[in-house]
Amino acid sequence: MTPRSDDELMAAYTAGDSAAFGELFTRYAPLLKAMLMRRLRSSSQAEDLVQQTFLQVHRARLDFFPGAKVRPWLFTICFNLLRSQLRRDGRSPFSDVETVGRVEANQLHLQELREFRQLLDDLPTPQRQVLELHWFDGLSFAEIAEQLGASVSAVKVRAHRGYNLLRARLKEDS
Amino acid sequence: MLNPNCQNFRARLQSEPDTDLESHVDNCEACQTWLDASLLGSSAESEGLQRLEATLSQQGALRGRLMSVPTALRARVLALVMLVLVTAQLMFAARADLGVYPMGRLALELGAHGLVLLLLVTILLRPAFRPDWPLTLTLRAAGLAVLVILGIALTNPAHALHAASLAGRGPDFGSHAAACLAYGTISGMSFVVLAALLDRGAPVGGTPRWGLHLLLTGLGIATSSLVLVLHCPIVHMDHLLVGHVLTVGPIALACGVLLRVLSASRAAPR
Repeated sequence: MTPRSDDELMAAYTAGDSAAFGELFTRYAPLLKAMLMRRLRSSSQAEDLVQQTFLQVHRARLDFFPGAKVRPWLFTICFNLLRSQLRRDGRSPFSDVETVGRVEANQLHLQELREFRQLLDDLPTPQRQVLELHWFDGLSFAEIAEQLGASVSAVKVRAHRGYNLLRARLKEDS
Repeated sequence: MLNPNCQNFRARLQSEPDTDLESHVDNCEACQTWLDASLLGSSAESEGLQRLEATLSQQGALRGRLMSVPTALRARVLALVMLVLVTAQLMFAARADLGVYPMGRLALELGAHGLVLLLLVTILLRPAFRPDWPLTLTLRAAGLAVLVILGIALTNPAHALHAASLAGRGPDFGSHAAACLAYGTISGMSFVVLAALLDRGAPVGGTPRWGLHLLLTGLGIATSSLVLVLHCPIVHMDHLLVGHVLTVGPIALACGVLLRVLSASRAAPR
């Protein structure tokens, strides 16, 4: 089975294809978990928040605007839940978010994204290119192959390497 | 069965770009399938997905469907139900003194209820991709609902021009107050139950349980008070304080019970 792009998965999912939800989960759950572990105390807390994120994604799937980017939408839901968790724990440097308001809250989101962006930038160019086109532009591997003038297999090999490196670095950081 | 080339491919996959490697996977169906599977996720993700699917199946088809209704539609459903409640009151159970009740004051009271309800519903329906509002906002909104109902009770009686408005005193005090208490609680809770079913279980004000409890109680109080303003003609303070304001207690209790019932199927698995 050829992996589908995020857009294809979300369109299939909102049309009732539950397998597409599984694909989205397996694609993003490890990344979300690794990022959450950098902020939370335990692996189980991070896993719980990943579950909550996808529960909210499932319940809000019909709110998703067709044509919008899946990844930022999904990460925003996750960060909003993380902020609530941090508030509940009362241990975060962002716990004054209630008084400072949304500006501060968005800074947490941006800071996480910046850190993630940095990790992505540190990947070798061929791998970074593939992951960027796949995540940010929502292209399928076949479309990326066409755009880069490479074979689909070559693109998948690069994606595989990129995922592994990213996972390892996120794990090191957490 | 893996041939030596397959083994070679998997061992070298994580090393530097290699055209031999890519041409092998181009021509080997087994390695293509393996690579696709690795891009789709590991066994840890499969376990997480299974737990998630178990939670989704536990919540029941109807509740799952209600929670998944688009936000715009959820807002319309709540607005429609509120409209039905108000219209039904005016058509079948309107206050007996409606003809003599000062219209300016009635408009002010209805407007205050409308604003509080709008604020509470907006907090409740916030989609998860929007940042959660602070708990203080929910506290203020629920507090505003109590202030509105208290304000109506503590201001001077609107008029003394109708016999029904002067009832509920002396020996009739208890029965009239109890009737309003029950009527208001039931009306308020009918709206709260629907609102709770449409809620998606995202944290409210940073807290998963009592933020929602506070929000639903506020909604119940505001709805109950709105219905009683349209229904009950009695205007003296004692009745309003006991029969109308005290609905806060049973509504808060009923909301707690409702959340306890709903939370079992809403909680995420650990």
